[in-house]
Amino acid sequence: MMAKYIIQRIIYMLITLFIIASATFVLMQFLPGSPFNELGGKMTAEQEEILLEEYGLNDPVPVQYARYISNMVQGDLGVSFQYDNRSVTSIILDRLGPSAHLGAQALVIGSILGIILGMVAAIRHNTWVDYSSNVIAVIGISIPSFVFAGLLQYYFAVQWRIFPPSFWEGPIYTVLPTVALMIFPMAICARFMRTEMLEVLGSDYIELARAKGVSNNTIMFKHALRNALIPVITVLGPMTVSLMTGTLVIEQIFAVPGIGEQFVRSISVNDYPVIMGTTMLFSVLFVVVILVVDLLYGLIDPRIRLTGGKD
Amino acid sequence: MDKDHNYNPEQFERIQLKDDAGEQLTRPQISYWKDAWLRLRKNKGAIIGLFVLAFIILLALVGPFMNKYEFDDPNYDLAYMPPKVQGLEWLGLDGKQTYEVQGSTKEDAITRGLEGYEIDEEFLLDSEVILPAEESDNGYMTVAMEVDIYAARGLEDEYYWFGTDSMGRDLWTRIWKGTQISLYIGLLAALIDMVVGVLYGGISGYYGGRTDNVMQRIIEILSGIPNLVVVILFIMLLDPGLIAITIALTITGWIGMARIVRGQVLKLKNQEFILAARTLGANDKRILMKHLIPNVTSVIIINTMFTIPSAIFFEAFLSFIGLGLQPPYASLGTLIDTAFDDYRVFPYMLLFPAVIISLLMIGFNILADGMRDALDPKMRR
Amino acid sequence: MDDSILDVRNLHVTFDTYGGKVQAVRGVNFSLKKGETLAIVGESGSGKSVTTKALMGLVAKPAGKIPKGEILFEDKDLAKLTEKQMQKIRGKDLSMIFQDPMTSLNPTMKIGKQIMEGLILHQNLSKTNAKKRALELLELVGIPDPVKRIDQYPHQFSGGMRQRVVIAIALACNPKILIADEPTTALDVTIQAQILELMKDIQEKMDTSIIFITHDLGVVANVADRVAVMYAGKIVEIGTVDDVFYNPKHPYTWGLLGSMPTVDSEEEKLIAIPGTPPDLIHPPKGDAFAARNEYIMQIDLEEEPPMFKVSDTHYAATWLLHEDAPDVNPPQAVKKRISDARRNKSSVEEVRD
Repeated sequence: MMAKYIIQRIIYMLITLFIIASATFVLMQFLPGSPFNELGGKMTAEQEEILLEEYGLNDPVPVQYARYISNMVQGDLGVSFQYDNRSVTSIILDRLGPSAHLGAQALVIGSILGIILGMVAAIRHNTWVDYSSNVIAVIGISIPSFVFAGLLQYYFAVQWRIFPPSFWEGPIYTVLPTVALMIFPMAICARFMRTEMLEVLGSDYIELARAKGVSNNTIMFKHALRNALIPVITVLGPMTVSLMTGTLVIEQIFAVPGIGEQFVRSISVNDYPVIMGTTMLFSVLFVVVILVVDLLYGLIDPRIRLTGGKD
Repeated sequence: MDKDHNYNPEQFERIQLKDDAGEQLTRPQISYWKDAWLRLRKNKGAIIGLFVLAFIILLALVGPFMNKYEFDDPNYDLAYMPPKVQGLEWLGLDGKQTYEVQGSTKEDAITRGLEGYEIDEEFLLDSEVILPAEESDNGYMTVAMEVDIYAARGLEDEYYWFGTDSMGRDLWTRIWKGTQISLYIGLLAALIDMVVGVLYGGISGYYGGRTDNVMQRIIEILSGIPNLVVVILFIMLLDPGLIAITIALTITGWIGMARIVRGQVLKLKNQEFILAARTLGANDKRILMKHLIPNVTSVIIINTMFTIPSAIFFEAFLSFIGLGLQPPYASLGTLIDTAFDDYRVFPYMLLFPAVIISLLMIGFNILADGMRDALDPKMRR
Repeated sequence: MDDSILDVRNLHVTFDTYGGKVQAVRGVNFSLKKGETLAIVGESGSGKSVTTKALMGLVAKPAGKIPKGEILFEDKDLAKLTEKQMQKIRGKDLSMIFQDPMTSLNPTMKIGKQIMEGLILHQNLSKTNAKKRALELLELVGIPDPVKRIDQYPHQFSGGMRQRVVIAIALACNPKILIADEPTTALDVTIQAQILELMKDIQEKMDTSIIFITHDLGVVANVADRVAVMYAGKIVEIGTVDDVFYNPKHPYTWGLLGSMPTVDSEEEKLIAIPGTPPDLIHPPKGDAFAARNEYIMQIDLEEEPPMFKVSDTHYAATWLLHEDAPDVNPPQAVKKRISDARRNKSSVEEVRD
């Protein structure tokens, strides 16, 4: 049952990725300009012809497509227009470190803070703690991360000079970008946790635990917390998306040498292979996270563990 | 029993109550929408959101006509004018600009600053050393100097309420024009999502069986594609513009709506009143339009309310990474994006659009929250 | 009154809602004897569940309050105890069975642990002893293969089995009073009978007093010694099962009996009580049942009826029992219902003899 479900999910995942890959290929065909225009247009027709031949761009489109897909499966995402024909894969790998570091830091700190905030709000339901946690959550969900990043940078770096305004040269440099990036995961976690916790606290089994004479603290931590935490895993999906969109803008604002900053730069100079490569990377990341969330959910929730499907 | 109490025998005569007396004593019945409105009105956050939105929308509509400037009228002599509002000088909207300049001495720094910014010394209002030479990295001291830039440029009678940008365009007009465009994109995207999502979800849920199966598989695959990716790919294909952005936003945006509508339709489909309509011979289209759609209206409204702010956000985001509207048109996103070039010296350029987009997002989000709480049948008692 | 272990006096419970203050319970008096089963019947919203929540100290704060009244149990007034003190009593002396077994067990905790929790808390048992006792309890409530079942999660149990687990949890510390809030409503009819049988069994074995909340009069006749009929937050009639079933005095009780389907009521129509219960945010002046009462008198609109004594065990709050009131008999259908029931009962007893 479970195995069948996993296999089915993986097949869908591969179909999705295949469609995205094909779409990027089609797009490359339609996009204006030859890849060698960027070199300054100083080439003669013969030189260009030699290059086209060398890169296989004179082959029929189906052949190119097959080669594109097979290269991609092998991790070869093509060659950058911008950087002297460096391979896209190596550009991405070079820049993966700071992005992963920043993303992980924001994800972990943001979700822990969010869970605590949401839990406290639910326990102190309808008190000022609850209201202020709600206000923080609404602000965190509403204010775009680049606006938030801009304000953080202006006040904490330019005005008060507490943190460095940009670059990536040590832990202190990660503070502002992390805060800017984690605000959305924190808010969404807090909100979700609060709702779940309130629902759990209003449930019959919590009342039964009370009727057993169990103390409030035990109810919170032994009965309520676990039940409320399980569904919070589902926000990992939207959180990943927000981290991906977030890195694009926040790395640019704080001059972090990550994938997002490279991506935005590539967009500005039409470096299509890098754009497509990064797009594929994001797609894979997203699809994998969605799958992992689903499987994790089944693993943690005993109701799903043995039945192999929700409900 | 109270023995001392004497009762009048007349009190024990049988009486006849009016037929409806039993009903009168119960709470009056109120309609679903009225009940929802009452709940919404009690929700302070939602009402605040409503007022903030009304205020911003009003200003977006009338703001550009409130002064004599045009949104696309560059004049490089008027670049970087700080905000100045009659009567609000005490709020800092006084048209004075503070520059940070460096020099070996205070005087040197000021001289260099005045020269660099082409300002006569008489307009220098104040100056202050904010970073002594010893503490700085390059051996120069940093001096903040405040100048009356309006006077320096001979524009004492001009009032740029939100200042001007690097091309001397009035930011007040540009910001409200930009707000119009952001709102337009948000509303249009939400509308398209709604139409497509309701149709897709409605058909899928209503016909069920094989149709539903195929349609759901398609959704499953599409929803695996991050919309960030779809949007970026489409904009690259279509060239940034109002229509391209809107279409890109709706390519996968309708999926959420389709899912919710399908779920609701599945739930409602087998309920008695639908079966009754069907046995009475109503055709599919009629049942769908007359019975199902009205009954899923509340979920549609709630979902649409959440789509608007996310579309506004996405537009701003696209502008920020360089895939947004092209000049001279402006949206809140492009304004913020351009502001980032200069905001360390001219923070007002960032501040105003940032505050407005934040208020807009907060307003839509809390209003949508409030509407969800008010309309959600689960919460209804 | 010496043998009573619980005395509820003039109990009031209110809830603050966004529409106003709901007076859910408005002066309830009753006592519970050792080893007896008291059934509280009434429509939904009559305050029967809220009354028992108040006994357990589970009225949801801060919206819910007990502004007046006493709940006397072993020389203590439960209404005045702090939450900490109540925690020592709940689950030990008073315990509760909930209506819906599908939602009343913690889905992520093994059922063994859920049973052991109370044992460890109140009887200071070690984990091994608690587990031993939990196995005994599972056996007692009739769960087959307890050794295997004790390590399973609630979703692996059927509804009836889950209710047995809930009962085992409630019985864990040999409570003096067991409150069962519609314990069979959510179950299939066949399972209902089994659960009722189980509860009767256990009462005999453990000599527990039971407060049995239900809206199902059929169940009442089966399990209860005494019956209290609640309407609009008050007890309107209280007496032994025989008193209330065969000699009902309150028109609301007549209505309830008339609306109860019986096995041999083929050709009879069920009689519905007209109207709906009053709004407890603004309770009416006079008798709360007046608006639905066929036999309404002027005084019903002016003053609340006191509890009239019918016999030593039987009381009812209706002005019809006042000496000045006209003689009123229950409607024909209800009379027939009563005599049918009486005949059935005596025939059952004859068979037993």
